[in-house]
Amino acid sequence: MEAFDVDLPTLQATNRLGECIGRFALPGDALLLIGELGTGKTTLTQAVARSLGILDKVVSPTFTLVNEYREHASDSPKQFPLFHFDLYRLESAQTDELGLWEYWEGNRGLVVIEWAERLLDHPDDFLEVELFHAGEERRARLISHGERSFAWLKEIVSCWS
Amino acid sequence: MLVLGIDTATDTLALSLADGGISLGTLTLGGAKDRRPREHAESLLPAIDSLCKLAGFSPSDLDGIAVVKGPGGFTGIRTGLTVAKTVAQALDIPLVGIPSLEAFVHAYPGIGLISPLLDARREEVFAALFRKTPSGIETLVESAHFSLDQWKEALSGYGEEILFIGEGAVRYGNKLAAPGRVPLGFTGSNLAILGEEKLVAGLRDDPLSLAPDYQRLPSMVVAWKKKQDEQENKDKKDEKISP
Repeated sequence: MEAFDVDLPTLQATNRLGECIGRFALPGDALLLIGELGTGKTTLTQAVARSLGILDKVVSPTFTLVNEYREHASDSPKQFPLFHFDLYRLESAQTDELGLWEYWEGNRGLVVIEWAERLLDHPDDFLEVELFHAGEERRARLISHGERSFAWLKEIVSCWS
Repeated sequence: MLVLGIDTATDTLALSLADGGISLGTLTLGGAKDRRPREHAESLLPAIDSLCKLAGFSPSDLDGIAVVKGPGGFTGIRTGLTVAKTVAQALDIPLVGIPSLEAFVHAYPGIGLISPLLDARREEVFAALFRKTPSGIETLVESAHFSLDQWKEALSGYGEEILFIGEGAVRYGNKLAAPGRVPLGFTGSNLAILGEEKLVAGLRDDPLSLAPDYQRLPSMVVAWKKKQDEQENKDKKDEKISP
């Protein structure tokens, strides 16, 4: 488990972090987002989606629970889907009834989960991003859980630095 | 009674049409590793349309719908139930939900002691035990969620050969097979015939209230994040105590 802290003073900074995360994502990767309302989870996801070349506008699936994005710009090097979950309106016990493992065990796309602290189950290997307010600013802590996410995190760190 | 059967509970998508106990057509897709249950969302409606067309019917000719309600893949079950419930409501025709393992044992052509198995992940299965004879099917152990060890134990009292069928048998059959037991993979179901029998016998499910039957054990574990934070706090405490 390795951690990396970043300051996100501006929207541009959040966008740049999302761009770095998405650029090195591979099919089967899981990104678990944790943080209160307004800490930038959806903004970060939108930036990740852009760096995957996804054409649709990404909105938080608060009521649909999951949005699947499969349409990419034809010149995008990434052509795998983004599965975007939002567990905000669920209790922990209910998250077990979604069968989320069918997504993260499928190795077909990038799984991004907002309000991931509500999960009972979790992927074997995943990148955790905690977003929080620090005064007027926002901050993020990236934590790798496993070999693959450690490699991913190292690439994100060198992209960011 | 023209009945459409919809089975999306596993990696295999199985559709069937029957009337008067006679199969009028089946359409089976998938089973391959990269074809996960959730992909049924994209194939199900075109598959229903194709099967009806090829068999010479229009969906409006249907008199009833049978659907596998679980256990199995969560996304697949939801997809199948949503389509079945919507079509039943739109056409105002009766609907019946059928347990997965019952559908499997019905479809299996052999007789004897048969244990259909579905993979519940992490060395766990959804399992049941049936005795199938030429005159019918008797349920010996109701469908439930077991660890492999529990299921092995539950079967230990039967001195006969037990046939394991279904996707779980492909994955775990070797671990369960003791002398005299035969692991055998089998998927797909001729659900429409079973569904027609049930509908003719007057069985009905309400299209508004029919829900997935996941059969998951109620989870007692706490959310992973909370668990992790508690562990970290404990570690910190330990650090303070140590010299």
